[in-house]
Amino acid sequence: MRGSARIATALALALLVPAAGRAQQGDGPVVRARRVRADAQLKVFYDAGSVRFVGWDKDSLVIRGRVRAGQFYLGGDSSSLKFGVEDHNGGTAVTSADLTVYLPRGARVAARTVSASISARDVSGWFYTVSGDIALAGTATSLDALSMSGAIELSAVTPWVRARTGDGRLVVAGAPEDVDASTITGPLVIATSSVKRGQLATVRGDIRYTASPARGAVLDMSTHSGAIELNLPRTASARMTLSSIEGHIEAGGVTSMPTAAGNRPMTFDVGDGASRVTARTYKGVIRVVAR
Amino acid sequence: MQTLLHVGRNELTHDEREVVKRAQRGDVAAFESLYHAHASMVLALCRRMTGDNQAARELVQDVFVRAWERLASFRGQSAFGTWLHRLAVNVVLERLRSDKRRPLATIDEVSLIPTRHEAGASSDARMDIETALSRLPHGSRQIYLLYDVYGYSHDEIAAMLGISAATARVQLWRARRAMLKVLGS
Amino acid sequence: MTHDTRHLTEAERQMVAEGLAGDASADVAAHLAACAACADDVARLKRLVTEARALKTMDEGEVASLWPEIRTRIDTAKVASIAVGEAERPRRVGWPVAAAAMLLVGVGVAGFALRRHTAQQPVVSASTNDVQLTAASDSVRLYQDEAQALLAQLELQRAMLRPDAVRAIDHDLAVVDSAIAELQDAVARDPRNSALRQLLAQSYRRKVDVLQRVGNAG
Repeated sequence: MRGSARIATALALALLVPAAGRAQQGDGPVVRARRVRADAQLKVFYDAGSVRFVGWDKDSLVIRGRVRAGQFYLGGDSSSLKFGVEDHNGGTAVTSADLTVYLPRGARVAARTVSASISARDVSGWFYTVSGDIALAGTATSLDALSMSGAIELSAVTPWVRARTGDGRLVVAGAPEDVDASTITGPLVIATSSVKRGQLATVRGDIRYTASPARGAVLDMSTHSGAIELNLPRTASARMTLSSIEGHIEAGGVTSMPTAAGNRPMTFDVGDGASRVTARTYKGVIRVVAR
Repeated sequence: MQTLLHVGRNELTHDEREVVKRAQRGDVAAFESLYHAHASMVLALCRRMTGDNQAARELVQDVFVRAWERLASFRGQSAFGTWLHRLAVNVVLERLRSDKRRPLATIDEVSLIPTRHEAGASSDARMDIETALSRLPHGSRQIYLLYDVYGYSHDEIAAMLGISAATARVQLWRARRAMLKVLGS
Repeated sequence: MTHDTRHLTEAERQMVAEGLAGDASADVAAHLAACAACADDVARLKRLVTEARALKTMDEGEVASLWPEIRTRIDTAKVASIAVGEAERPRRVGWPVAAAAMLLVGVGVAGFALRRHTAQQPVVSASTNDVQLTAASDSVRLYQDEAQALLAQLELQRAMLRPDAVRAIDHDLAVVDSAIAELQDAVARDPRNSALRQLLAQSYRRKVDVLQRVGNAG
């Protein structure tokens, strides 16, 4: 970089960092600040601690927080960067940091941690942790939240979200439109009526739907042995198709044991049947409850 | 990590053949499974060829819509992924040709390519091959990608880009030298 | 070319880097053994070629979010008619009349406005069931193949995974495999039950999900 360009960049950052500092001083000292494109791609990796992503309306990346000297690295250019925290001496000690990352709202993040918790507001991307928790909020173009065993809480406004966890609790709130969410044994809770297309599944975990299906929505719920509980308001409108091969179905205060042989789901309309709700389990119980 | 239907196998597996047939009969769910199997490959291709994340995401959509339109022309003589890859390359090249802001420049002089440090990478930067790729001029990037990454022959590349095979070969060599310069290795 | 006085040409270096030295390979090898500068340059080129060939694809999650728009464009353009036919129509309720009456009584208690499907709904035909059976069976086969490939990869990677990740993976796989085993038994007893096959396909899909997450846990 030529000298004049270096000076200009330094001046720009000198103006930028104090402004950022005034607003986010509680997040700790600035670790790095860099001009980035509005649609930059950011990859992040580290072990433990926490990382918080905040989308803002500036074309810059500011990382604040506390990290051990010599363990932080940042590479790339204005369109594609990666940063992480690792032991540069080649050791295997767990590295930990608590960082807050401010980046343009249009940027995309791919973050991977071992046990560090991940939270994000007004940021889109892919968020993975082995055992940490994930909490995503604000507005995003798409969100992908994956954990082996951590809890996931989604309260964002987004056209599309995919979420996976093992035995963690998975909560879908906010206003997502297209939802693909599943757990293995953890409970799956849907507390929003905004879902227009939902693929919701567990193996042993319970599925709890407490909302009113949107008109035209198509919701598919499936579990091997968990319970499926549909808490619907009296004004709900849905065509319900319920199947439990070995379990039973409770609807309207009545327990019914539909014939398990052949293809005999229990099908009925709630209200004028303006959405489609399919619930399927091998040996769990399905409950439809009015609230 | 392999996706649902293994990409790059030379033979069309029985299962993939059945899924493709269902898609050709209009089964959108079958086409969706083909999408999930191959979309990562297509996105990577589009991103590398354009160097533009947003354009790449739009191009992935264009590729699969065109694949749906042209499905009937797939005869199963190669793996579906191979057919799709070729279609994707053509879609990207059409877009690049129509984008007059980005002529398909090639490298005339490797010394004009800035080194890693001249380009402003920070001292603690780890330049990886993907980032170095984004620094190449567009035309050279296409040749480098198509040959070294995706394995097309010089003749195939020449036909796609409207140049001679000899030119494609020389540009490839220059692209490799430029990559080494940018990588600082 | 006289290898003891001149270096390899650019063409020769590039061809060697790709492993394409051909007829001149003996001469080239002899020169490389004697010339450190050429050997070093060829080694750099070879590393680059090898790295290029090993470039990985992007994270899978990013592509999943693009599907809805593609689906919309396909539907909007009506490029091809979707011949799904009866599979899309709701089935007639096949429950005993007594149970239906009880449910309608329950309706009054619960406060929902429930309506049974009318008798005009088509009966679940054998052909509709066949379509659903075929689709579910195809899905099961696809996911089975994918799970097998991913399992093989897991075994290769197991030693490199963190212990807590291995524990989580093994626990989840045990839960899913138990569900799969139960469903396979059930399908064996009732092979024409498409709901069972759909549940089996879902369980395999959960298995594939767990194994795909392994790739990121290393």
